[in-house]
Amino acid sequence: MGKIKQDEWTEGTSALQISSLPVLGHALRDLENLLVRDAEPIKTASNAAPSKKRTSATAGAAQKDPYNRSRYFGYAEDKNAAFSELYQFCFVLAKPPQSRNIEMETAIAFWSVLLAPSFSIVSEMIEFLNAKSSYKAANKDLWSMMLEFCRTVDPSLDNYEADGAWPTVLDDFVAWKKAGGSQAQAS
Amino acid sequence: MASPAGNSAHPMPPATADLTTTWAFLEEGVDHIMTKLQTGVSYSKYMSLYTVAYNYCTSSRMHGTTDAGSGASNRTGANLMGSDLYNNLIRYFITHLKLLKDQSDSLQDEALLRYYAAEWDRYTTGANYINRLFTYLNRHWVKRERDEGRKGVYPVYTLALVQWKSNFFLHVQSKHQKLAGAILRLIEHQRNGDTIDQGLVKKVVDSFVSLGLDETDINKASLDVYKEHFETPFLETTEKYYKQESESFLAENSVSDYLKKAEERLREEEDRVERYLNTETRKMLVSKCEHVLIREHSELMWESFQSLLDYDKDEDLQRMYALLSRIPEGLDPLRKRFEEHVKKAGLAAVSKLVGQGAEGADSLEPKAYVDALLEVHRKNSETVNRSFRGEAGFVASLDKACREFVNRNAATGTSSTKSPELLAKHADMLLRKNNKMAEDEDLEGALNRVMVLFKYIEDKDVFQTFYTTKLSKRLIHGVSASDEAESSMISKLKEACGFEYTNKLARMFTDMTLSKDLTDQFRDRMQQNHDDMDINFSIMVLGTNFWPLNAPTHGFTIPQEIAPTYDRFSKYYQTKHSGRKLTWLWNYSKNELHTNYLNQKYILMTSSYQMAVLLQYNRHDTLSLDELITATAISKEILLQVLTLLTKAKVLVSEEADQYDLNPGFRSKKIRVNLNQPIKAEVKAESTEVMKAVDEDRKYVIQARIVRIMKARKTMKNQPLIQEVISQISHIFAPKIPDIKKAIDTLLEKEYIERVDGTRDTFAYVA
Repeated sequence: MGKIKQDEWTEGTSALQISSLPVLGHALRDLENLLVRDAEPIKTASNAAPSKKRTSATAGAAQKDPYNRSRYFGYAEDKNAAFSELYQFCFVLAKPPQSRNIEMETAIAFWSVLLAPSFSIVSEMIEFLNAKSSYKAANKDLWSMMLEFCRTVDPSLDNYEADGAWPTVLDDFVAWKKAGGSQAQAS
Repeated sequence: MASPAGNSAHPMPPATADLTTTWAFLEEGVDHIMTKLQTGVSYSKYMSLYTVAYNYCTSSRMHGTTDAGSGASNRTGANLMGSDLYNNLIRYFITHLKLLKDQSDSLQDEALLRYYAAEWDRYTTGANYINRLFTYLNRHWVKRERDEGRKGVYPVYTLALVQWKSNFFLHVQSKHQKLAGAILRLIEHQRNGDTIDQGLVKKVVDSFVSLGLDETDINKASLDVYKEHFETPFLETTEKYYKQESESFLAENSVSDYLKKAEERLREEEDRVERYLNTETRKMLVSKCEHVLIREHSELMWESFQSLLDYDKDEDLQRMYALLSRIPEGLDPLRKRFEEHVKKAGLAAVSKLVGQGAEGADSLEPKAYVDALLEVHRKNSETVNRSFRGEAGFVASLDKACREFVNRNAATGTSSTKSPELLAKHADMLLRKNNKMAEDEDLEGALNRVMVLFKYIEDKDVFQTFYTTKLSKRLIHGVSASDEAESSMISKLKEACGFEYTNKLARMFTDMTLSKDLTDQFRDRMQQNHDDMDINFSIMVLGTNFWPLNAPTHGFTIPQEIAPTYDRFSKYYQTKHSGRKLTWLWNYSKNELHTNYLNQKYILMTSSYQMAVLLQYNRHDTLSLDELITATAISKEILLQVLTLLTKAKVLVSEEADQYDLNPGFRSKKIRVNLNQPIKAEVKAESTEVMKAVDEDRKYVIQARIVRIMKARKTMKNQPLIQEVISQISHIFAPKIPDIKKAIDTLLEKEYIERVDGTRDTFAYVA
């Protein structure tokens, strides 16, 4: 799994003004709710005019951000772009430095965390990938196209184009699902 | 001035004579010319007639005229006078034609035609003279009238024809088309086989053409009379006649006979046009006949096509082809049926062959298989050339059918590699030494026939792989029939599939030549430096990438007897080509051992493994299996097979299990004993191994092709890219779309190509 260097860590936490684990947890939950669970962004007084410098605390405790949320509000403005950024970052994070690909097991774990909450089709996808042991790794293209697939293809697969340029894994998945998916395999 | 003509009833009137006098003189002359020209007209008579007509036209004297159109006051004399003469001429023609009309009324059929033709001749000849007689009238009055847009005025000859048409021709025709009917009846007689006066018909038909008049330009020929009064009814009766005839003929005769009949009829009708119809009619007549004789019965012809094929009725097929090729949609069903026929014949031939062999497809003789396919191709290809004139559509049908049955038949089952395999094996047999079936000239022919089938093979890469394997065996074992035949075959393959396809094969020959030189050089060097070379050594150094050979997967201890040679050569080669790695293919090597332990000296021809085992007995008389394994480092599995062969040949004897003794009493009828039989496992592995190699190769072929295409195009959409790959590779094999997609996946991963940002289905070449 990915490594984060110490200076990267300090740079990141200081920009966010996080100095304890509970606050870090808070920040991560905020981010997860926003991007993965698709919750409404947190509203604060500063929400209307997010500024880079938000160090001065206002009167009400509830108004006070536990950490610097300026990035958070930046993400909230374009959640799609923010999620894509997160998603692509995760590939690099999960990838062993010498390798071009990440192991399928790792990829599945990531997908179940990143995509499954928002896209119902992912659970079936994971079922499929687990059933077929022939897929050993996910390359960058499959990684990117998986998000594209989730975003553009209807869960019913009605708008899936067989002659589109999907990676073969996705073609195989569609064929598998159209053949009856897990039910057909069981019988 | 001219003097009065001698034998005229009227004296020649003076230039100032009035109309009545003038016309009386002229009419007598005109009538003479029109009715009894055969009695002759003297030059002076003719001149005086001409002069009188001229004088009258040019006389400036005002004259009472009935011509309403000539009222303009500035008219010259000819204009005013012209109409008088013109009207009198009309009156004359009407009277003259009334006579003909009366005489013709009682005539029928041929008699009518004869009368009509004779009168037509006389009339047109006369009218021609009259026309010239009134040249002045034509040139001035008629021209002026026409220039001013009066339609009903014609030059005198044309006037004569117009009058003939309205006063005689239309009259006769008005009675149930008496004239045209008579012609049509004559034609029908001819169709029924009677002889008719074709000249007569031609004359009458020609008159129809002459009577046509284009009102806007009288000099232009017009076929309206011909078309209306002759062509239309002619085509109608033709259709009726042949409809009736073809139906009744088919009711009583076979299709074969009908083909002959129809062919004959079509030729006859074309001749008819040549003989006595206007050429304009050809197209419509022919298409009418084609419709009635061919199209109307095309279903029936298509139906009987199969039986003609089944019974090899070449002539009938030829005829059917010729007939149906005349209608645009005629041949397609034939082509389809022919394709089906060839396919069936091919499949049947193979099924028969497979049925004969006791063990079915597995034990199929390559030669028998190839011959069966070739025979079907030869026979049907001849049919195409002979009966269908080598027409491209039929050639395509033949090719399509052949491609089908060559690749998929009872022998191949679902395997797409069986046919290329058998064909490559057949080629191997042809090119081997001791091949009885091929004399030299015949060999070339046999190879050409291999190429005929090769053209149809879909998986040409499978053939290539088998061929390469077989060639390598021929070369290594020195059993190739001739270098000439080999290179001839390679150039044929190169011609069919390009340089890349045969590159490896050509390189193999290069390696062979180089190896021969290398062996000689090494031998010379050794003779200079060592005097203990009691081993005759020859080597082949073969490029790893060009030869389908695999190094042994197990160990091999080089026997001490050959170790010095091995070391010397390895060193020699290193000094010659430093940096090259030699892999010793013991599994392909062979040896000859001379026995000294027996009364009779034998030469044992062995594999290297056999040699390694036998050499152990230079120092021992008996050895256990384990000892042999230790000594040779050959795997137990293979060693057991080696030993089985050696004990079977009685070189070794095994009296106890896993115990092998040298047989001191070995005997053989031959001095040279060949022990080098192939080991079973090797034979069986060959086919599957080839397929594995082919599949592996295909991946790279597809990837390489994609990279090449992308390098040229820079960016390309997914679908066109796949199409392009298919079209570029299909002459070698038919790539499957999932395989291409996999190759794209791989190339994306290796970053030879990338997806263009913001698009899902566009790829870009990564430089």
